[in-house]
Amino acid sequence: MIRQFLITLFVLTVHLYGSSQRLGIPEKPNPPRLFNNLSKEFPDFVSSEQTQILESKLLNFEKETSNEITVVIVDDLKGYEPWDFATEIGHQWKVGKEKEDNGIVFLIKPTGDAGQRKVFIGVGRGLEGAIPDLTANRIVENEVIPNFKNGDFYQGIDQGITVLMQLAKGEINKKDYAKKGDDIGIFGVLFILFIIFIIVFSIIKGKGRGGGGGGLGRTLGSAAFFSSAFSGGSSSGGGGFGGFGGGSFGGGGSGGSW
Amino acid sequence: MKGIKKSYLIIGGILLLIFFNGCSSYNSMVTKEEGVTAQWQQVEVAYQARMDKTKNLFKIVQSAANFEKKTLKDVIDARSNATKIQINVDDLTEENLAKFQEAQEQFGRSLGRLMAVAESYPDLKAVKGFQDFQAQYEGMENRIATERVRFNEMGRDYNTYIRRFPKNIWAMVFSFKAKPYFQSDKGAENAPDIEVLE
Repeated sequence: MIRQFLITLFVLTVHLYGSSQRLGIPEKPNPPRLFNNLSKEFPDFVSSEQTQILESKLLNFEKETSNEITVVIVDDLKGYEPWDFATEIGHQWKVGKEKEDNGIVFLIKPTGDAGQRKVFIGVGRGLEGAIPDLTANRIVENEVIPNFKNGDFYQGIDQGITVLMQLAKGEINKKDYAKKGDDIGIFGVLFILFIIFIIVFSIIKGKGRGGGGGGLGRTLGSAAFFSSAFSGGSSSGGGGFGGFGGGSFGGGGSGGSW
Repeated sequence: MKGIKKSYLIIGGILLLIFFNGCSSYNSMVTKEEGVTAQWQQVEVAYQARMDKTKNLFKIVQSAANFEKKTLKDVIDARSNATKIQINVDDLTEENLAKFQEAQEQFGRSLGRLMAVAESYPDLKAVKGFQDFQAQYEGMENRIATERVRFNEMGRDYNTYIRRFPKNIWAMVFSFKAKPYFQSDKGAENAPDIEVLE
């Protein structure tokens, strides 16, 4: 009876912790990447060699200046406007550093007829000053679209991100941006106390019942699971991209079609 | 003797549990409510940006020869009407939000009409100030839409949290109240679409 109550409480607490999201936006890449070709129709939108070059260019830029630029190629905008789709990606993936909001989402939808193919450069809140909508629009019109029209997709992306990098760097330039440790807060502390309590409780209960089988093992197991969930750090290996940093997007940026 | 001790332990344990659950619920509610409040400020900023940027637009449009007087007057009136309706975060009720939204949408619609009408004034379109505004206009509306959707999301997250059992008991104890939503734009279907008119 008490056990059931505990489990219900546990499940409820964990369940209510989740948050709502708008549907249709692609999942955050795992492992984290900056260049994301999610297109099934154009898996070779740029060659794998060029993908490598772009990924490392974006990664080096992130390491040098802390600004996070991600390129996302999709087949379908799921009924969203390009600006909305790009903003939602930025919002849900949390592109950019938490304190700087210095993320950029370079969205490309290469499917469809001429005029239906879309590009949008979504700009995080922290970079809206350095890259106002009008500027983002110029980049799309001058650097990206002309190349895309010629079929020079790599050139279009490369020139686009090069200009974006110059502008973003002028605003925010923080080498070796220290990744903030995850602060578990009072809720986390209470949660851990709660878990400890459950363990103690089940030990007492187990003793009372005279060795009541796997009860303790199971609670210990779930406690371990939850505490690992709370420590929350995705341990990034080596020189790869460590993951998006928690930036926010407010609908800034501009786009075009080709 | 041993039996009494055990039941004390259990009762004590349950009380402790309830206490912890109450604490964590309270803290989560505060956090979520703060989220809604912060998001409301973002909404206000986005709407205020539209207010500020239209100030210059009026001067430019007024200077354009023989611009349709009624269209311009409508926007100016709608704007000054919308300026009057501000909501304090603490008074974020359904009624107040509906009033705010109504006034802002009326302003938004009349501004949309003005931008559409302006298309047939080549002199006006040639003015640099107008071109700048035009370039910002879309982004302005996008930002408002983004912040509004997000406000509803945060509100829904918070409302769901405080309305579900057993949190609703804690919400009642600590008197956390549900937040209102933005309704979908009533005039959205009738709003002039600048791209189509072009």
